[in-house]
Amino acid sequence: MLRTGFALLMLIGLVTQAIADVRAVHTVEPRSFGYFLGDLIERTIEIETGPDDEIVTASLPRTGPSNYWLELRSLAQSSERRGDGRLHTIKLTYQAFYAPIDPRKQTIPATEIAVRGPNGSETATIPPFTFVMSPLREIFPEKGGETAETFLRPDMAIPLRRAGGLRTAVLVAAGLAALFLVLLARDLAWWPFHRRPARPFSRAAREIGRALAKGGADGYRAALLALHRAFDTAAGQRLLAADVDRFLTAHPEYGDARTAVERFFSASRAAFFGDAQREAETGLPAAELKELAATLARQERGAR
Amino acid sequence: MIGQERVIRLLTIALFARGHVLLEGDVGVGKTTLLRAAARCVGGAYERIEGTIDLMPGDLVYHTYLAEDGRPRVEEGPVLRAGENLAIFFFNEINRARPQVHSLLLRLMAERSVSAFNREFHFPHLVVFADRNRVEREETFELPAAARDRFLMEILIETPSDPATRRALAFDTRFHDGDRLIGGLEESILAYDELNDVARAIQSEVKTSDALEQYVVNLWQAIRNPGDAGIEIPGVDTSRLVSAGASPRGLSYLVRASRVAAWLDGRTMAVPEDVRSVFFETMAHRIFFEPVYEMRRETIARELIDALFETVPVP
Repeated sequence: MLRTGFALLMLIGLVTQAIADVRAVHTVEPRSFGYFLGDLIERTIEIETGPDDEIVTASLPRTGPSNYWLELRSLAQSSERRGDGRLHTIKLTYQAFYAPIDPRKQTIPATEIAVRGPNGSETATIPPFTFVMSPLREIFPEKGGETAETFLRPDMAIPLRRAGGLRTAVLVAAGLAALFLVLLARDLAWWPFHRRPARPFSRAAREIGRALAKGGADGYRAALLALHRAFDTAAGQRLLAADVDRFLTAHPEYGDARTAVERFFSASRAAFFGDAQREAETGLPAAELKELAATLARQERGAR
Repeated sequence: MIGQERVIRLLTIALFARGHVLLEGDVGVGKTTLLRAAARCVGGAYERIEGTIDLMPGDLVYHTYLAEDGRPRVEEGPVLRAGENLAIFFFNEINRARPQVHSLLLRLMAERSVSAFNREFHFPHLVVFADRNRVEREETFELPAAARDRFLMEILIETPSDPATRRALAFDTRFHDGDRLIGGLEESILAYDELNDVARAIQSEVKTSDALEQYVVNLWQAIRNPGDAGIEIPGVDTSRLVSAGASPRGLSYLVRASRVAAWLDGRTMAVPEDVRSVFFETMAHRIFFEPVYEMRRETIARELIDALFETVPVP
């Protein structure tokens, strides 16, 4: 006797474990009358199941047209623990497009939803929902002077929303943002507050090009002078030949051009103080002077 | 002399430029020793006199004493004693002498001649060396501007800052006895009576180009009106700094000294570096500041001349 009872209990346990456990299906339905063309019908379905069961998403009704007059607009699903089981809530929003000519019953058909348990599935049936739809107007216009124009209600006027306040706010905000950007740029020394580092050698390279294009002794001397002024600016003081070592120590970026720089200074000395123009031009031909300026300009750009 | 290479070079320049030199510095830095050494190397007659408050111009040219026979006698004083051969006249502690003495010295320096015994004495080879210490101000007489202007250079001697040199100066016994130190020098390595010709040759041989002449003129212009030249010194209104000075004589001295500097470097052309190397010593004492700035003269003069060379474009 005891053995038989134990076996029965085992069997019940097995059966309970084998399939999903749909315990109840509740529906919270809206009113069942007074619907017109285009009205929304919101249904809430609550399915109580066992703790490990879940709704099979594929079995839920699809959004979109359900039939020629009914469309499922949206479907929202949620799930939470309730007691020793789970409560699945499904919110269905339908829109009815049926245009009845007299009050008429319509029915949203029943749907079956699959619930998957740990070891199998069961179906929960959502019951059908029946409601009454009414026409918006009478079928035929009255004889008494009503025309097609007056028969239909005029279209609603398009609501005009004021955008002026918003626009003002946007403009003020943009103005403030621009002002703060300017202040920030000034603080961080961005352009245009960032004084562009002077590029004396780049400028000198251009001037030398122009001066040498003129040709002759004067052009060569003007080119030497242009490079002298560039050295002065770069050094922050007037640079004499005797200061070249100190200058190159302070500005190692020009160190590669040391021999050329020294030749430049000795050529300049010959041209300006030795009155030996030819000697100067032999020591540092115009082409090499131009090249030196270009090299220095390149090194200057590289160093910044 | 150790640690004073620059001073020695400047002194050499002064000798070859035939200019008078005023040494200035603290007590015991070797001013007198240096001048004595230079006098020994140049050769020729050498006379010295100590500046004192009761020194009178007559004491320079006349020597008065009672002879053995008891009668007063007047003979040539230190300046006249060696006659035309006087090569170096060394005036020690020049600021202790009175202005009367300075004025005599003025003539001696400018014209290389004095009147005594009712006639003119000429000293064609004369160079005046003077020194003064800048520590004491009591019982001293500041040199008049005219006298300072006649010195080619005013050289500031400072204690060497190099530690090794300082140690040697303190512990090396060679430097304890100045007389022996000078006695060990080779005498008369320069022919004093040829120096004038050499100087003339240097001045005619060493070229100054148009660019350099323009540069010197620009420097002159800028030192007279530092404000207009864009020279700025912190805490000084440069447009009201210089009241007078930088005389044309000073400028010609500057060019002379620059030529000698170029020649000593083995060049036949003067370059801006030469001008710069002698500018402070030849020009600083000729520039006179407004009274407000005169008290800070030493620092301002140095800053002004540094700024000058940083500002005036070369060439």
